[in-house]
Amino acid sequence: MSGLLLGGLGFAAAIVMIFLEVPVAVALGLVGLIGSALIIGTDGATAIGATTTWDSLTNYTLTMLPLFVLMGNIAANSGLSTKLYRAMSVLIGHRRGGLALATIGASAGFGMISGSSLATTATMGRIALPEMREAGYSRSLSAGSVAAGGTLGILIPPSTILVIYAFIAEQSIKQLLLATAGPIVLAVALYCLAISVPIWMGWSSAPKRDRAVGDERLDAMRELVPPVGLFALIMGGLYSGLFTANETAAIGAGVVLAYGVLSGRLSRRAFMFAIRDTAMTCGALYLVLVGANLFNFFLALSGLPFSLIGMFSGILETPLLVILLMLAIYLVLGTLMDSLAMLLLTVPLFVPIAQAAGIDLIWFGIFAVMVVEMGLITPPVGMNLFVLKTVQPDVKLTELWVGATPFVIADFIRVAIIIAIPALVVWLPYNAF
Amino acid sequence: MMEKTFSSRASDVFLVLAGSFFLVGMSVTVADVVLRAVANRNVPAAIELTSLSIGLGALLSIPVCYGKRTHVTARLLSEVSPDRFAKPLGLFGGLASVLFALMLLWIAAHDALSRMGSPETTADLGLSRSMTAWVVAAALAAGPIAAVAALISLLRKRKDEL
Repeated sequence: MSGLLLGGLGFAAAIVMIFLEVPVAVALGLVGLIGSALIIGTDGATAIGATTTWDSLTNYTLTMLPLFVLMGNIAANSGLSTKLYRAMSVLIGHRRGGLALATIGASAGFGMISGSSLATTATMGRIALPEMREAGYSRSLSAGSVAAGGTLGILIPPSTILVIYAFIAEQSIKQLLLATAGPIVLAVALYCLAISVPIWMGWSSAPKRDRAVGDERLDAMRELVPPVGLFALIMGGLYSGLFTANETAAIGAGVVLAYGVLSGRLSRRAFMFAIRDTAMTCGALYLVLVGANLFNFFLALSGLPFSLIGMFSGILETPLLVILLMLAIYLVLGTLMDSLAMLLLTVPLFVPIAQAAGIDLIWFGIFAVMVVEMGLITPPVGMNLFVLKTVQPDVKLTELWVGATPFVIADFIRVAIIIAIPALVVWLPYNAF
Repeated sequence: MMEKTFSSRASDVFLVLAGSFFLVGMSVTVADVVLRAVANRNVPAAIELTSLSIGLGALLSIPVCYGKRTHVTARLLSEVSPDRFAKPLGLFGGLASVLFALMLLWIAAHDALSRMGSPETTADLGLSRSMTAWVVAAALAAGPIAAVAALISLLRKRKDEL
């Protein structure tokens, strides 16, 4: 059997296994190991397996992953994420659509912490949906803002998925994190419109609430200081070039820990919970990285990425076509699997093609993360919509589809803008220093 | 009940150890930044110390991931129809996890055996690579045990429900 055929079969086997709910790491790792053994023999595959495992575990760039997760967990266990939602709902909840905007903002904050769209959607679904319902918001608007808000945090530094992309595609994590600035501003502006336009047009109801009084607003502003300060520290450290990305992660975790302890908001029990939760998350992430590395090596051995470049040679001269084709593939995959699984499967194949088409790989990383997240809320079968349906069974799927549509349109516009104006993504990382 | 208590305690030990190594990695990096700012010096071998301590933390947390089935898994079918798909697909995923954990253990053990007596050391700290390979193998040995325990617990749950 030729390496190419094996590569194709292995890729298909990985997709089928992931679809059949075999853990992503296990599916990729098994295909990677068995495929490599079929191509270069058991001894070669064993040697590669040992090197890959060691490299994945001791890679210095990846050390920021547990540190960012630790920072997020300590922040969450110090009550920062709940306070973020409460503070935002006090400050802007009185405006029409204000609670939906607060949900988007808090989901983004929680997404930063959890690193998972699905977890963010599930958690915020439980917190924000009942409050919006009580305030008289239409169910479609409430559900849409929770589902869409879950996708936003993934792009905001510290983004675990970008760290993983940087590792697999061998790109600078610092440049990738800097490249998120433009798309984040764009996303916030477009999501505000996605909430406001249906309200203005009378398609969604979002009644005004009573404005909070002076002291309450002042307290809410005070509650916002720690999360905003933390974000400023991370972005400031990165943008100013004062710290490397790894140092930013360590300092961020250290500062949150010091804040939690000194303010008395982090009890010993909460600290232990944060530590255990961090280890649990990181076990899963590192296993995924080992599996993805084994899979990448197998694909490279099979020659599949280079054959695909040959197959795409007709359209490589037109990068726009390549991008649109990848966009279509991501949207289809988004109906089957979550963002991390999609990226791990596709990056080894798409990166060489993007490179051959002259597409900047920092830009491509941002594009890929944006598009895989978009797949999660694209009706009829975006995964975030199903998660929301699971945590709030009384919300109808049709309401979810209607609610998600303005955000999907906003996402399409955002992707179109970064395709038309790539400088929005790449200017900062290439000119910051 | 005893078994549950034991596995849950074992998980706790692994998780707390793993978390402690993450804290060590964090402290080394923070100390390195502070020392550089204050005294224009670096913590010796800071990068390798950070990488190895965080790597060891990750290694110790992997068996818990098998045991508690906290893997990254794309659950579509069992979200759509939990009654029909959740259990059989869970068992299939569990079996695949046992197989993968065994393969990783075999690879790590093979690597450790092949490095026995090798003079190779890590770049900055000078730790024996033979020793580090045995540490990796020992930690990964907990993987198949945890994966089998998770599978047994899933099977028992299924039997109870039948």
